Amino acid sequence: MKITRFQYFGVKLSDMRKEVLTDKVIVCLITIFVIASFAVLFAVERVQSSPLAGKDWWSVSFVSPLEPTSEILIENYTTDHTTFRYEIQSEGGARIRKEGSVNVEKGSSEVLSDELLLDLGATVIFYPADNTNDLKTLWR
Amino acid sequence: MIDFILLILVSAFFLVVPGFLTVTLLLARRLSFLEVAVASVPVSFVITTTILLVMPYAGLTLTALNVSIIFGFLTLTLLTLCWRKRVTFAADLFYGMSRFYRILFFVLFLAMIIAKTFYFINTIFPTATDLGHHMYWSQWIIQEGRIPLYEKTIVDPLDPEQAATSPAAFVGVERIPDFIIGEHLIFSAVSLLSGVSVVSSMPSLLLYLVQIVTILLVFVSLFRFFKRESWGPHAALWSIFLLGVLWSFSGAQAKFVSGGVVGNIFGNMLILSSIYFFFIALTEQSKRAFFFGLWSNVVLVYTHHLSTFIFAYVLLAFILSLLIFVPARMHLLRRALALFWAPYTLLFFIGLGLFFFFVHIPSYINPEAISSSVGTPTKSTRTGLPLAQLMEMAANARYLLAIAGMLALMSVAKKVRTSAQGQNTFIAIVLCISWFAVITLMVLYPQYLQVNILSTRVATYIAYPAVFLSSIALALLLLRARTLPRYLYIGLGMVLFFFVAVEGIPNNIASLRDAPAAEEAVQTFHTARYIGAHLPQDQWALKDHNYITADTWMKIFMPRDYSNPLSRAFFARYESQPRRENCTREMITNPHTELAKVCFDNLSIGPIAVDTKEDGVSFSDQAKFTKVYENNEVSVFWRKTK
Repeated sequence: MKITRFQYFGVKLSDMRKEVLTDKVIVCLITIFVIASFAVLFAVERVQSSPLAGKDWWSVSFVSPLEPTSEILIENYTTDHTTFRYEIQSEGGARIRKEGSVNVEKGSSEVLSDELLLDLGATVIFYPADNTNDLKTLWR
Repeated sequence: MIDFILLILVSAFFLVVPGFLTVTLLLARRLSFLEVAVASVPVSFVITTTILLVMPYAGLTLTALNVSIIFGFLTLTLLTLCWRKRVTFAADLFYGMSRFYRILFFVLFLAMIIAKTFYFINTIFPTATDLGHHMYWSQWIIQEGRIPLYEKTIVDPLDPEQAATSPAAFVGVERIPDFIIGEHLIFSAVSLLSGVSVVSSMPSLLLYLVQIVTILLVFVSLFRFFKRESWGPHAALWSIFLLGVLWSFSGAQAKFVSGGVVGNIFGNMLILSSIYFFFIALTEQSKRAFFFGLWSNVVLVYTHHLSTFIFAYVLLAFILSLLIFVPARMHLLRRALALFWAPYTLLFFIGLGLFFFFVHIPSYINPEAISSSVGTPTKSTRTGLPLAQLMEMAANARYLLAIAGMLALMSVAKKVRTSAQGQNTFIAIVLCISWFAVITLMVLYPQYLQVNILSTRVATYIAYPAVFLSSIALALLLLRARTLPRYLYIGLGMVLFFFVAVEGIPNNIASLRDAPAAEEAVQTFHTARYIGAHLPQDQWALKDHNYITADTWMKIFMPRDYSNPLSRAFFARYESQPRRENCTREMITNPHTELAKVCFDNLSIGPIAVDTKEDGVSFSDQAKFTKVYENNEVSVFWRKTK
C-alpha cells in the first residue's frame, strides 16, 4: 500500500507488526497518567485539609458545652504563636478575676482548667501573647 | 500514601474490575482491548450500583464485610470464567493507524489531564454546596447500611399568609425527589472499603475518573461509528481536542466535577455508553451489546432523572429518524426487535419489572413529578432559550462547526444510504444528527416537544452531540481539502485550529478558579465536628448559609436528618418566596425578638453556628446564650433553656 502525503495516519501492515504502542500499552500509559493526576490531587487535598499545613488559626471551646465545666480546650494551628494569655472576668466583664497564660505547641491542644469557670456568667478572653488584637471569647 | 493506594485499589475494585471482566467475557471478540478498557468503567458502575441497590432488599446490610464478600466472590467468579474461556480481544482499535496518530492521541490526552489537574488543584478541596448535599446521603448509607428514603423534616410558618411575622414549627417530613440512589451508592462503597472519608478528595476524584472515561467514550464511539470512513479516526482525535483540551472546564466538564453535579456526570457517561452499546447491537446484531445498553439505561433511570428524560427523547428521535430515512426500514426493525429475544434479556426485564414495581421505584417517578416535567412549559425559565444563548452554552465555535458537520454528514449520507457497506455509517449519521437536532429543539422550542424543564439545564446536554458533529466537520473539511497544495492545506489546518482555539483557550482561562477557601472550610468542619459531638437528641442545630464557607458539609458531621442543622438561607430567598418560613432568618438576624424566641422554642434550637464578624454580635446577650466555641471564622452559641 502506497502512503500518500495526505494519508499520514494510515500505515503499512508490515509496519504494524513492529508497532510498540499497541492498545495494551496505550491503556497502561493512560492509567499511569490518570493515577499520577489523582496522586497530585489527593496530596494537594490532604495538605489543604490539614488543619496545620499553610494555615494560621486557633480555637477555644468548652470541653463540655452543656454541663457546668471548669475546662476549656485551646487548639493551636497558628504559624507563630505558642503562648496564649487569658483573662477570666466576672459577668459582663466588670472586673478581671484571674489572668494567666497557657503554652500550646503548634498543631496540638491544651486544656485550661479553673474552678472559676464554673461560675455562671464567667467570661474568658483569650489572645496570643504577642497579638492582643486577636481576641476570642467564651462565656457561660 | 497507604490511604491513596487503598483508594486507587478500591476504586478499581468497584469501578474498573467488574466491568472489565464482564465485557471481556461477553464482548471481547467484538471489541478491541482499548474499547473494553474504556467500557469497563460505565459497565462497572452499572454492575456495582445494581448489586449495592439489591443487597439491602435481599437482607444484606451494606457493611464493609458484606460488600467485600459479594464483590470478592463476583470478581473471583468472573476471573475464573475469563481464565477458562481464554479470551482473545478483537484487533487493536488503532490497528492500521500510524505511530504519528498514536503519539498525537497521547499528546492530546496528556494535555487534557494536565489541564484538568491544573484546574482541580484549586477546587479539589470539598467545599461545593451540591456535593455537600450528596455526600450527606452517601455518609448516611455508610452509617445505616441500607437504602435511604430521601426525605427531610420540614419547617413551615404557622400562618403562611403572614409568613414574615409568623412563628414556624416542624410540620412533618417530605420526600426529596431530586436525590436518586444511583448518585450515592458508589461513594459509599468506596468509602466503606477504603476507609477514606466522603469529606475528602475522594468524591471529586471518582467524578473526575467518570469524566475522563466519558471523553474517551466519545473518542471510541466516533472511531467505531465511522471506522469505515477515512475521516473517522481524525474526527475521533478532534473530539479529545474539542472536549478535553479546549472548553475543558466549562459546561458539563470540570466545573461539574468540582461543583458536585453528580447526576449529570454519571448521566452523561451512561447516555454515551448506552448509545455506544446500542450502536454495536444494531450494526453487528449483538444481543449481548444490546443487553449492556439496556442495563446502562436502567441504571441511568436509577441515577439521574434529567439525563433519563433527555435520553428518552434522543432515543425516540433516533428511532423515528431511522424509520423515516433508512431504506430497508422493515429489515432493520426486524433485526432490532430480534435483539430482545435472548433468555438473559427477557429474564432481565422480568427481574426489573418486579424490582421496579414491588421493591424500589426511583423517588422522582410519580404522577406529580412527571406531569410537572412533561407538557407545555409555563414558567419563563422553561419556555426556551434564544439561539445565541444556546450557542454560547455549547461554545459558539463548536456549535457553528456542528451545523457544518451536520450539513457535511447529510452529503455523506446521500452517498452511503443505499450501499450495503455504508449502512453502519448511515445509521451513525442518523444517530449524530438526530441527537443534536432533538436537544437543539428541546432548548429552542420546548413547547413543540412538550418539555417543561429548565431550558438552561437541558442546554448542558448539547455539548456532547455538538462535539461529535464539530469533530466530524473538522475531519471532513481537512479531508476534502487534501487536493489543495500542501501550504494551503497546512494553512487551512491552522485557520481551523485558531478558529476553535480563539474561543476555547480564553474559555479555559476564564473558568479557572481562585485559590481555595481551604482555611475557612477546615474551620467550618472543625466547628461541625464539635457540634456533632455534643448535640443532644432532643435539640436541633442552626447555622448560616450566607457567610459560612462549605456550610452544607456540616450536616455530614451530625447525620440525624437532612434538615439538621437548620439553615438561614440566602437572604433573597425569603423575599422571593413570600410563604417561606422566616424563623431561620429571624433566629440569627434578630435573635432577641419575641418572634425569634418562639421560633427557638418551637424548633428546639440548641447550638447556633455563625460567622463571628457578621453575626457574632447578635448573640452577645449572656443571659440568653452561652458562647461555647470560637475559631478565626465561626462562633458557636448555645441557647440557654433554663
